Amino acid sequence: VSSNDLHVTGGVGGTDAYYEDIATLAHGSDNLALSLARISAECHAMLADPDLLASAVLDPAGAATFETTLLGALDGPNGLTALAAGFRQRAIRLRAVAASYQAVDAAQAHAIDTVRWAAGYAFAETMPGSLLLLAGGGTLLAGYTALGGKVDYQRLLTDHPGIVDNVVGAGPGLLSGLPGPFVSDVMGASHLVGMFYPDGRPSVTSLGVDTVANSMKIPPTGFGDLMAGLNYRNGQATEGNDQIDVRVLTHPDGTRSYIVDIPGTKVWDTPGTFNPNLNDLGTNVHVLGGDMTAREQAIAEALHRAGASPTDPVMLIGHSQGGMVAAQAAHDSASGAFGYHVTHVMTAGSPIAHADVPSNVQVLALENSHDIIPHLDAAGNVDRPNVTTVTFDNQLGTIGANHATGTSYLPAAQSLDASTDPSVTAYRNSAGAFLTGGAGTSVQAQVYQLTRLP
Amino acid sequence: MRRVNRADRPPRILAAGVAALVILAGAVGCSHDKTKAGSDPKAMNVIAAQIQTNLAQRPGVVQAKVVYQDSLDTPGNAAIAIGVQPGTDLGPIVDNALQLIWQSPLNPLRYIQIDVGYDQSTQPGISRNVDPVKDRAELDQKYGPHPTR
Repeated sequence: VSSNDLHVTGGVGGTDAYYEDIATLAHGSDNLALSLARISAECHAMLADPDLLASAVLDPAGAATFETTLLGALDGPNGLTALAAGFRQRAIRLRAVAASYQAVDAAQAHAIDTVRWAAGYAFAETMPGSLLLLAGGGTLLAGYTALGGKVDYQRLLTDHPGIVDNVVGAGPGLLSGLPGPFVSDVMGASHLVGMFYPDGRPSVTSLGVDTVANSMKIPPTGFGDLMAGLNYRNGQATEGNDQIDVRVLTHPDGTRSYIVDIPGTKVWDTPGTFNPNLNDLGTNVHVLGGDMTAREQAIAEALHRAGASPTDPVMLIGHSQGGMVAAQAAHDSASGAFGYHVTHVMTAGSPIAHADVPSNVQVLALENSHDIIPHLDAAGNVDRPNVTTVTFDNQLGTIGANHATGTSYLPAAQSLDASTDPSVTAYRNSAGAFLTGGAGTSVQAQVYQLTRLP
Repeated sequence: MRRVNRADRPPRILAAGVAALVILAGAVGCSHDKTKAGSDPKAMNVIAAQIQTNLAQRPGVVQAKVVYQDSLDTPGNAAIAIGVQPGTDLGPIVDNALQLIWQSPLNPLRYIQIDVGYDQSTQPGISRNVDPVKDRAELDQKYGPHPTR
């Protein structure tokens, strides 16, 4: 992956930022129109000034010329009044343009969601026929492979990850077509399914300071260094050992900032049973439904133990589920439910489209276009000035390799260091508390094991 | 044509359950690369533990940890973290760790992370990531072919 292969959307150079620029321009035009109208009104008042009227007796012709000229300048075709009206109209037009762009974008997204929902609903309504049709298709495929035919499902899915969007997007309609509650979207469906995954309470165990890996003891200078830390932690965290680390950066002036590395899902458990692993499928379902999870609470506890204060800047870096939890924590930091000052989030292969991240949190989302996991929310990331999505093309042939930190996201993050894209540059510049360049800054990585209690 | 009340359709719940299981099984099935032999987690953990013991016995090594996992988020991943005494030559330890992993029957092997650093020190160590697919020819030449069972 080279920096030329990176496609950037959102951020300060994104479409929404462009809409905001239009809105700012409209506001400027409004202000100008107001100023011009005020000047025009003051000048009109001048025409009726008693001193002016009195002087007209002395020079009637001169006074008439003055009045005619001033009236022309004020109310003529190119006068101040017309100019003010023109700017006012321009402001209205600009607002209308921005609103119509946004309305079209929203309508398109809504139409896609509706079509998917309807497909799921139709599937449920036509059962068992639809199910038999599905089984028939499956039988045909099974027969084809039994006769020696080869179907590379992983290749098919990773070449066409939109299939995942469609299947997941049909889920809410499918659920609504069955007896039970009505769900209108993916978040609602996830929330419903989450009821079958007891989230429990968090438990945090300190594992001490990690002094082995370079990424844990050298201050990060770029995106590659940040991702190297996450990649390292992802290799240490396993099923039965949910590990995160908090990299504590102490700067020359004594201030501190905190980077939390949050690996992804390690346990793919079935619903209905208690699972002590916080990095399980249950957390995915809960966080996709917009819930504050026990894993998020455990991260808050880890920050507390690492010495973070509510005002110290915090960057959350997560892979897959880790990124989802990071985005949700950023959302919850606005309400105070997550009691730390999350200023930055960086995700790798995470479905975070539905996370309502506050505008004061800068988000950088990395997505391999052949990774199906970011599609599990059936929506693309929002294009907002504070949300930058970097997409890259790295087809490695399997779902796992395309999604992995080591083979997919670390090389992309290293390439991103060379990017001069305005949105990427703005994110990098805003992250000075974490990308110190190493001058006088020290790092200590505290490692924590997270578990779920009933 | 009789319109059937939703509540009168319990078989649909069953059908939906079957559909959900089919989709879930498909998703889970797709999420694991079982095309290569030797993905029995217990057997892989035993092999990883043996490599860990071997590395821990090297002179200068204070701590060694070898973690192997093969999941959707971390497919065929061998992570080796070794802490050594100050003054220890790191290069040979990195090389030995890579050799042990490559010559072991750990499968599938999709990514190797080796981190060797001075224990309880801020002095930089060596972090090396190896992609066995991209670097296969080099690894084969140096250490011989990787056993696929």
